[in-house]
Amino acid sequence: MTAEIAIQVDERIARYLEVQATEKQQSQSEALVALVDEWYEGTLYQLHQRYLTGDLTLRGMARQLGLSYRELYQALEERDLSF
Amino acid sequence: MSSQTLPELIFDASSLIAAVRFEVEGHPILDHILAKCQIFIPEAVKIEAIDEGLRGGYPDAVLLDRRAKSGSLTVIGTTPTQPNLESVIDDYGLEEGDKAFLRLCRERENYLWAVVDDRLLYIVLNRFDLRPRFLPDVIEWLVTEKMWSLELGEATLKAIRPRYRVGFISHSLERINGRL
Repeated sequence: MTAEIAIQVDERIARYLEVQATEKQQSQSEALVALVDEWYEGTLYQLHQRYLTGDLTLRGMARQLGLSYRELYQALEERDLSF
Repeated sequence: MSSQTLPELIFDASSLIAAVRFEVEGHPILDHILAKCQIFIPEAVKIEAIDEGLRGGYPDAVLLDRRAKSGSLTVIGTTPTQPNLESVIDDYGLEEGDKAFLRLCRERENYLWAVVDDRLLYIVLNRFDLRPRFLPDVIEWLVTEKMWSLELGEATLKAIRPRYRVGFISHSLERINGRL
């Protein structure tokens, strides 16, 4: 499932996206999607690290990612991230 | 053994999902546990593991739903009754489902273990003297109490290995074999 979100970015980000798009032969919106995906994955891994150190619970992790408990369980399973 | 004399366990959502997703000897691990123990869950865990699971189309949620409807899994609602307790658990940064689990453990007197895999929740339960155990510890206990065979215990620990850090499983395997 996908959702469309219109956003404004500052010139710095716009230039970065232009470079990325050129290098990877993508459109700027594709480059932005890749960037957001990368950021999301990084956030998930960071939250998992915080979970492992006892800083937050699995439910806290799910809430911060906007996932249900089941969706979080599946996300961890797909990435081979342990309890 | 009648159900009145079976030991009571209170399960959190992650342990419950792991117990139903992995099979040993052709049956979900949950059913092997239910053959020897009574399992209780708070309403919040039912919503997370069963209701959300059914909505998301997870096949194991159907099995959990059946076990709940047949009375094998007992679902119990909890409500906040002690403002100072709620305030303390809020200070730990626990979520609603975590709090419901902790409340149920405080309300039920005769349970043996609170089965939980969540690190922070385990620590908080331990500080409240609410007898937390990781699922691998419960498997060890079933074997050491002779309720399960050593073979069933070993196979179960190996089956759940993908969901746990390696050390949790290797430690339990060494212990049930009497090597640690």
